[in-house]
Amino acid sequence: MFAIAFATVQDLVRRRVFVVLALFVVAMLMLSFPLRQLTIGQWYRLIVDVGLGGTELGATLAGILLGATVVSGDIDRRTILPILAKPINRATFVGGRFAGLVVVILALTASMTLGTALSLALARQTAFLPLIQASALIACSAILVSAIAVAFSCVASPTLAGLIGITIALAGHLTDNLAYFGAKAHSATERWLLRGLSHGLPNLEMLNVKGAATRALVLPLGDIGVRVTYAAAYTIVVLALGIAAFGRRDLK
Amino acid sequence: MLAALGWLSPRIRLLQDYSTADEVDVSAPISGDLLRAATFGYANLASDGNWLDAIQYYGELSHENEDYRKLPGMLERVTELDPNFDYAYQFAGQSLPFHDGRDGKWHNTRAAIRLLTKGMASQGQRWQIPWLLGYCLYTFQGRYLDAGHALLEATKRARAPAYLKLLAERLLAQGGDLTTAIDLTKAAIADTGDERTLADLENRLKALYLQGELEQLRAAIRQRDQEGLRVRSLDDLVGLDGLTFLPFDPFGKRFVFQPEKEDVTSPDSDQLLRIYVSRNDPAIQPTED
Repeated sequence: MFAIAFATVQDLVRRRVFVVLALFVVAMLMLSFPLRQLTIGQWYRLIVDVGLGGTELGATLAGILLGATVVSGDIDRRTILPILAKPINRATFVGGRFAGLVVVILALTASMTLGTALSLALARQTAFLPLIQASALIACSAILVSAIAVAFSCVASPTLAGLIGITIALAGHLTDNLAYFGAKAHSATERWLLRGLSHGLPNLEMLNVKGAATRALVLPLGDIGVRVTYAAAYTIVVLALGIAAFGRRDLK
Repeated sequence: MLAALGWLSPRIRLLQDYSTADEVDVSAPISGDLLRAATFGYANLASDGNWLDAIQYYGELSHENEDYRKLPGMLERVTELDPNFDYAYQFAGQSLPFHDGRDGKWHNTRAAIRLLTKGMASQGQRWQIPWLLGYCLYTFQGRYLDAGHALLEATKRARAPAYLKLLAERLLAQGGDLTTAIDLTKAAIADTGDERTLADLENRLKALYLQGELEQLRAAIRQRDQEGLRVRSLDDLVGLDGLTFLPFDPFGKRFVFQPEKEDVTSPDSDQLLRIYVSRNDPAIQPTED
């Protein structure tokens, strides 16, 4: 599995993912100066908001787009066949690919957080812990949606897996709204459908603590632990379902 | 992302200019839940975009000619997207009330009070939010009691300056809530270790008791008047409901009855805690904004 994960990281590096990272860090550093001119105070808030917003967008998009191709790309190029001809089962293959993707997402999030932290330091702001907490949960969120993309890429085309991943990444922020509309719906079918969606979709707002970070609030570790546990459990379940579906897929 | 924001900003402003004709109420609140849902987890970033837009609008001097009439709506959107954006409420309280030199009126005062009240409801932590609310209520609407309670709230926030307690106490006394004003002063007395401040606070407490006693005597005079009985001296009031004996002036002097006015005063009336404007009149005449 480690060999597959390492190969995945090498593959993603070849796709110049890290060029995006470098560009983001430089952009964040340059951004801190014009932001000071545009606002009255509130530098910490603006730098953290823009930095975390960019980090979330970058990590989530990278997670979905790369996740949609790490398995199905091998299937399309037929490079999966010689790999599976070795004593490697399909679960190990998908797990290894996913592990490589997780490493890339973590590196991506860490680099972007570093860029934001440097930007804060240049503005003489020192509350870094809320930024780190929010970034950690952004990484969890990106890993979760990338697991969904990987799971769907096991059974569908990369385009479809990517589209589903993006849709779920957006809808995951609306689970409370879906629950609200479910409670208000007149027909029983609508009610059950909306309630089902609100419970079944990942609650990405649970992993969104950007608001607390912009107010420099440090969350208790127990609180962070619950959120991380939720993301990990959801990720494992989705990945297990993807692996199960992949196990039944005819690759010929 | 910044380039995209920069490209979109003037275009969005054009749309706003087109969509906010004079008859449209730009400050009409939009459902915050709807706005936040439409940002898919980026409500804070969207709030910041609107905040920067509001700051640029405020900084453009030509908008003074239209009394900054779009600013309340802009700040409303900022705070709907992020109800915890404390500084936006403070900015609203400081910047929205606008004195137009051409017509001599104040504008946007109600919008400022609305946004500051919203800031209080969203548990804003800055002491400046209730302080500015109290200031606006007192200055533009003459609501001393509400202003006093807002300032009282400000005193409970972190880093609130000590003078706020004294100001709150003065406004509460002016508004008629003597009990709270007395409690506040007693708490301040218990808190202070400085002898000079202690003497000043004790003097203020006496002034509050004096106001209470004067009000009690005036109520008794009104009661006698309603019963059709003429009051010839203060002794005539003893025995009435709640007045078993004549109260003593806390400053040690005697109350003075004025038969021609049927009123009672104290030689120490100048000690009473007052905002020096006539009762129920705001310090600044409000405008129909």
